Amino acid sequence: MLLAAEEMVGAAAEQGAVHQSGAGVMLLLAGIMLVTYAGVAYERFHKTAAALLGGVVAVAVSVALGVFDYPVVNEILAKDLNIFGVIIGTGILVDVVGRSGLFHFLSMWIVRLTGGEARKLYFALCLLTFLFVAVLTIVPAMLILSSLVLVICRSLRYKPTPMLLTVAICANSGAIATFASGLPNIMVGTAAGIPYVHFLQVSLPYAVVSLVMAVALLRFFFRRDLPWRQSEAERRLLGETIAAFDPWAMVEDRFVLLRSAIILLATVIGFASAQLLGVGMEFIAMAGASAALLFAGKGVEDAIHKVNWTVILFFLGLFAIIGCVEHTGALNLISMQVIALSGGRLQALVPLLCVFSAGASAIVDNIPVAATLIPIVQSIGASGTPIEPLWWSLILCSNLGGNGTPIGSISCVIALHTLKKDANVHVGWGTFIKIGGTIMLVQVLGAIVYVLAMHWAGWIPPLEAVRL
Amino acid sequence: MFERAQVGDAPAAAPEHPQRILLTFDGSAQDPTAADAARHLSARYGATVLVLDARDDKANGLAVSLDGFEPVEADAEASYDQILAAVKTHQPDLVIVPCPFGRDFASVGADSAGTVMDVLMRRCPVPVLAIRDPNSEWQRVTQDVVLVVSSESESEPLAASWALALSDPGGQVTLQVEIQQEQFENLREMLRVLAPEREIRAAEMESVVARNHQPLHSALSKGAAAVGLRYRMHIPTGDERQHLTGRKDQLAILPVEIDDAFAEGFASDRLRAAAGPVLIVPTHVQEEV
Repeated sequence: MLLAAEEMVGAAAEQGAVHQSGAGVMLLLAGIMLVTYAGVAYERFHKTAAALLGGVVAVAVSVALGVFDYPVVNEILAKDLNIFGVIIGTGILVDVVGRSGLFHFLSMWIVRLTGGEARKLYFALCLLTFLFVAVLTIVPAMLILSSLVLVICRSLRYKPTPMLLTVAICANSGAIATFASGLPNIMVGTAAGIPYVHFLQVSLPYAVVSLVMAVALLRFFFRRDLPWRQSEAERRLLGETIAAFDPWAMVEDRFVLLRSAIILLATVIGFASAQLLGVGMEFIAMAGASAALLFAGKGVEDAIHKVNWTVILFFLGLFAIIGCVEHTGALNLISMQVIALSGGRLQALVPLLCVFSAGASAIVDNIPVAATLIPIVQSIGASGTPIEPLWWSLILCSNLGGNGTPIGSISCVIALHTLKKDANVHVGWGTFIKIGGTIMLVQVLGAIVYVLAMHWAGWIPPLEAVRL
Repeated sequence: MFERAQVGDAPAAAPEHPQRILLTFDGSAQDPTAADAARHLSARYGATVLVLDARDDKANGLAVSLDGFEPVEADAEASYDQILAAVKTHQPDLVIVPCPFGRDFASVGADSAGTVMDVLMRRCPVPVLAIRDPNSEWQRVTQDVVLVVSSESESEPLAASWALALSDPGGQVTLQVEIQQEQFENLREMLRVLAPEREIRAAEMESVVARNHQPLHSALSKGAAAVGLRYRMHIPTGDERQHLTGRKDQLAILPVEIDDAFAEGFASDRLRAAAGPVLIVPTHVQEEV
């Protein structure tokens, strides 16, 4: 076993030999990266400004110290252009479709079906969250759902805290459902060339399992916070209150809603068929965005302005830093250490990657965590270790790690901010970690078992080594 | 957004079918266009069309055909008195009036809607359809009917019924919720004084106005779906808000609450700026009569 590990380390070292810099240069650039990540995590510093500043410093230092010639920067950024294409395309599509009222309509329609009963409403919200995040990504889904929960809780006189925290935690399960449901998925999926269908085969089943885990634990934690059993008279009164909500009232134009739904559906089908069609996900995303701009009846300029340029610039800075560090050979060195530590065995590598990515994502944003680990996983994969289980470990755990702390994921940040601002409820770190941290531990443990079991059963589809 | 959904049991708006139409002539270029509108409505709803030559000076004959219309007379001097007298006598449910009355639209344009319309807007107990640019085609304008609202008005539900009635089958009905640029800026200045720490954004204001008109939106949405019309709610934003002018290929409907100075001013302004026909719906006066 040790011999095999040594061979793997040798292969990994060989792969990284081209860019090997001195230890001082490696430490300097790794230091710039860590300081940038600290800036990203520090609330009073704008994370995009931190990433861009870090990128500028890293490039300047790399060029000055001869790590690479300046034109290499363009090569570093060019290989990630497809990620920008997916983010811009899905951003426009989600904005245009969101403004058609489609998701507002669907959510109110489903909430009305529950008759306002706490038990049914609670489970309906869990399911809605999962579906909306899977289709819309976390931020737009959370903005819609947190607004829905507040209005419904006010009308039906339920405590908003259990409902909103449940939505925030279930959102992280929804985020692992498909290729386009979370930024780490888009990053890893694009870098590794994982087809959309593979997400449905590997990631979606565990998304459902992790949702069931979360709902069961949340139901236990909130057992005294909601009226789980309601009398017939209470249910009748709730039914009358909820009937006053008209789902169509939020739809400004039914034809725009219909067209938006068709474009969204066609885009999802396009994602699933991208490999078959011989095109990239970014092409499908941009095609969907173009159709939305042309046919969904909303202002083109307005929709383009809604693209999350903050995230794109954040990525730009981040990719520049990681590219610089990668060119020093530091990330390759880390991967060699990981291989040496684990003996190249998946039963050690998968837990190591899961725990590290979840733990780091709970503290720092999961985007830099995924961005940093991608080249490390690529390097480990180049050593001969089966790479597919590692990619899935990274996707599952960098998303689920967000449940660990109040700042671990954007869904938790939005939920806690909404509770504070609109319901005057403060949820402390201790309270959150007791709930979210427990759920994260169970989900990450489950992910480790799931990935290893899937691998040993031969159910993880192999990847073509197109982007390694 | 979801607060907007809490509209209660808003009933669907039902089309208001005209049965008796009073068509008035003034000898201007707008007369044939007014007659064309009356003929279409008569053909569609089987309405009786009463025609009144409301000119001050009737020395010369009218240049427009009266075929299929039932001529009536009114014993009064001023044109608006003749029209109001005919309304009182014959009880029509719609009056069609060339606007500006007695003058060609081309000569006055968007500078004035004329005295006759000013008086009818305040005194006429039934909706008044003002015919503006003689080149606008009735069949075309009824494909694009826009109900324009700003502040809340009690006549909105009736105006919604007229919007559904006047739209051609398969046509588009739009509820246009407008905040005029000056109105927005004045409100923002006032709120800035009251709450200096809070910056009021245009989108917030639009959301509040949309919420105020949510029951109307709901009623129109259901009503349009029931009669097979296309319907949308539209809130002009940004640059669009600064350039709100009437189009000649569009039929505008303005609910007016008499004695609400803002509502009257808004309706007068929109009528003056309109090139296409405008239906004024004054419920308040109707209740008094």
